[in-house]
Amino acid sequence: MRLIETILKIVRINGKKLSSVNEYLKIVGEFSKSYCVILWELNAKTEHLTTLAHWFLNSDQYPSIHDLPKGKSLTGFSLEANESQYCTDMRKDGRIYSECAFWIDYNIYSFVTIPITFRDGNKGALNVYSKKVNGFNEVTRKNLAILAAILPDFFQSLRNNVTYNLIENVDAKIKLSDSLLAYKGNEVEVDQIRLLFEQICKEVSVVFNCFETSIFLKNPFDGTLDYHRMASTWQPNDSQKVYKADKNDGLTGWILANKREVKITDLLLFDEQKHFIRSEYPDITWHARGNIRRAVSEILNITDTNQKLPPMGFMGAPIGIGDEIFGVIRCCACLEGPYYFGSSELEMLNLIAVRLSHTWKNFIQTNLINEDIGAWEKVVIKISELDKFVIYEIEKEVPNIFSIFEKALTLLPELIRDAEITDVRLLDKQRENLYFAAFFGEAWDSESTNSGENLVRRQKKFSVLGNSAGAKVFKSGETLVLDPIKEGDSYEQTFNGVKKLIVAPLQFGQNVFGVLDIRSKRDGTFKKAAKSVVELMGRQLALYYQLVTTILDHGKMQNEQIQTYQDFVHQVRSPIYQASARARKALNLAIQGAKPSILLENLQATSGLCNKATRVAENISLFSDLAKKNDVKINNHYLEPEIILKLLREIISDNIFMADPERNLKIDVDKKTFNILSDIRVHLDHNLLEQSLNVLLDNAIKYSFDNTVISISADLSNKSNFQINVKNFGNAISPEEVSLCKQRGYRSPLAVATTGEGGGIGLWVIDNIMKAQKGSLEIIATNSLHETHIKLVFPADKKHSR
Amino acid sequence: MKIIIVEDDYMQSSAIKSEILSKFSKIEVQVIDSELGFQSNFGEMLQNPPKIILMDVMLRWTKPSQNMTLPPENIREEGFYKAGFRCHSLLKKQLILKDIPVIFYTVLDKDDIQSELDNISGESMYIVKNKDVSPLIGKIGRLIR
Repeated sequence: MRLIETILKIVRINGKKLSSVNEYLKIVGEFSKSYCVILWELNAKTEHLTTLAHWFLNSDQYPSIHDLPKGKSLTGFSLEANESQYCTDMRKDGRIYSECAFWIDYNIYSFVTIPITFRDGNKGALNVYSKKVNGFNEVTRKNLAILAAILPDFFQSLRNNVTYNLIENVDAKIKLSDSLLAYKGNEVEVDQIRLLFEQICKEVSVVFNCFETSIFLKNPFDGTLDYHRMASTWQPNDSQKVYKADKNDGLTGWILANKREVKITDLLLFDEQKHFIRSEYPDITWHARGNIRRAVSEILNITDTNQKLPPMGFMGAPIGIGDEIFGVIRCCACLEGPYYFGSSELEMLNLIAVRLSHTWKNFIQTNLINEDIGAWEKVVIKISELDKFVIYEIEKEVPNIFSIFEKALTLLPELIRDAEITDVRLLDKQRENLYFAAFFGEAWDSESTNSGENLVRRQKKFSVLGNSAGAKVFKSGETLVLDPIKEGDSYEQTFNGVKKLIVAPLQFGQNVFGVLDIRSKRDGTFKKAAKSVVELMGRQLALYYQLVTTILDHGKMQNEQIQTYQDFVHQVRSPIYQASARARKALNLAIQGAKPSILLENLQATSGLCNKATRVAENISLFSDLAKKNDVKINNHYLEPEIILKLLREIISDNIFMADPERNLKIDVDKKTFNILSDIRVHLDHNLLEQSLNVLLDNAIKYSFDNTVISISADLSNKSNFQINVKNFGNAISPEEVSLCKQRGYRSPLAVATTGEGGGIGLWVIDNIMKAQKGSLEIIATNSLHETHIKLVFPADKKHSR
Repeated sequence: MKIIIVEDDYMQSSAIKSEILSKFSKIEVQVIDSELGFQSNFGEMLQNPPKIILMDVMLRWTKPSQNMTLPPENIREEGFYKAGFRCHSLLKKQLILKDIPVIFYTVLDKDDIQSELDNISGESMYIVKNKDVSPLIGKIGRLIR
């Protein structure tokens, strides 16, 4: 009757956890009134029996030994003979060897050992121990044999049930998470997946009674190829959180490297059983002994460091699809029996790993697709943000293109995950080198501890003829992608350890004026859209550059125009004041009865200064018309030799008088050459001619060296045009400057250095008024370093004889 | 007693020089006609400091010559518009010269150079070039006395 009741109790055991096998042992113990019951399992390779599960009358007790050599124990003998054995008094039974520890440690006198065969084929034994001598009568022993006989089926049924429930629960969690992820659309964050995986780890730990279940995964979005701990039920600070992709050590590392599952019966026997373990898992290592011992001791509340700990099973399976490995799921150290992971537990772990693989792969692919879609959405948003910044910048009096570049660089890492080191390089004025116009990224400051080195790096220049990535892009106008950088890829290294780069041109039309450069020290490749995003940003920056340059040029032109008017005001005001002062002085001198020569000198000065003021005023009027694009008013007359010679006399007199006599400048007019006007007819505006000659002579005096001669002559060109030549010896116009000199506002560096006035508009005005008269201004670049030759060319007709 | 006129327009420097010499006796007038000329005369000024300096504001860097010295980068960028103030700041760095009164004699309106004038001190001052030179001569007279 008691046996039937006992079996009914067994049937009612809640079989949702593997540890329910312990309840079975408890029922057996209570039925037989024993002190403890241990379920042993034989390791066929090592020929040792190890504790699978146990029950003690005092629940805080653990077996003092966990393995029995098959050949040196009564339990082993029973297995060998496939027959139950009964030891009535351990102190007197000569058949026992290893079991002696039970007598010594627990004061046990008798025990029954019943061999069993588990449904997976493994052999084992159910041992029931009593503190009494001859503690089990024959009826009890027979009933124990019946309870032992149904144990394998119970255990298998328990395993099946647990497996089914676990997979069902894991599937339910994944399904729930999938629907949440689907609902959230492209906002899938890795933390949501982490939450799911933590739930799965917890579920597995509960079902398998282990204190640690962990999942390690490679995340393509974190910029490394390493396997990071994604979820775990055991997270002490000193546990390993990362497995390096290129250094696969330890049990987890072995699984990653070999893409195979691992199951180790008892980690505590790792060293003793290394030979057997490595025959199945070649070269496998285990380093975390100290950590795990300490953790298990704490959890089981074992303070005695000499006390043997229960066995620590381990199993781990790769998470991956085909040859692609994403990571590992591992379980370690059971907190109560069954202490060992059987092959069915490992199969179950593999099934869970497959589910994790699909979930992770799905997450990665969804995020990669979302990242691509999101990247373009972000580009639109960020460029819009940049536009606002540019509008703000160009509203300033002097917009700063460098600020715009810096702002763009701060936005780039939000568009391209791995844009760690970024810069904009621009072509310098000499068009010889690219220089850093803006840069962004921690490496710019952290790469060197020495601020001097950082400064040198920032001031580094790259010859456009060189081999730098920027120079290549500058020359070709094509985007350069080195992703990843391979051995033999040739480019100039500004930073160490860079693994990939993209360099795009800053190009407007056909004109490349700089490059946008992004680099990364992280593993893995840039995302798919990265190249297009960098190219787009490069084009955008080129547009901003063009916009700001145009605004600055416009502002500069406006300023130059204002400056030119101011110059004119000064140029006209100065001679008027001086003329006035000279006239007053002449008057005083006359009253005082000064010598006529002194009086004449002052009157001449007054006259010259007045003429100069008049000409400057005329020039202002011309400049004003030309600046407004008004037509130049022309009042043409025929030019006679005596008219031009008179004009020259007056202009020379007024100008040379104002030059410092110590400069010893001479003006030589080759009068004879003007006789050609007797044979030709030249139709021109006398007033404009006076303006032109005045400017040319004024320039010649300003830029001539001391003790030189300015010569003026006339001749006919090959096309029979009338030409007036003005030559001087001083700061010459170089061939490169010939066309520039006719541009409004151009002043050569030498002209700027040697005159304290002028706005670079004299030759521009002459060029325009000559064109208005169908003539031209010609600047002849001579081979001489110091000779300047300028021609006023007028159309001429031959005079017909009467 | 020496007065230095820093002026690159010969007509102006000669007129002012003549006016000073006619009004004051025992006065030596030296004309410097460029910024580089001012810098080159600095050693001599330290040895024989002038009583007054008349300073034009817009000054050329140097006279044209075959082997002329080009202006340094900062002067190229700033241009000739404020050359007189650059010369003035050189004086202020020298203990011996820093208290010499400088008369900025220029056609520039006060508004155009107000920020620079705010930085001048002591007996230095601004006089606009005008047909009437008497304010200038009056000021020189007061400073000489």
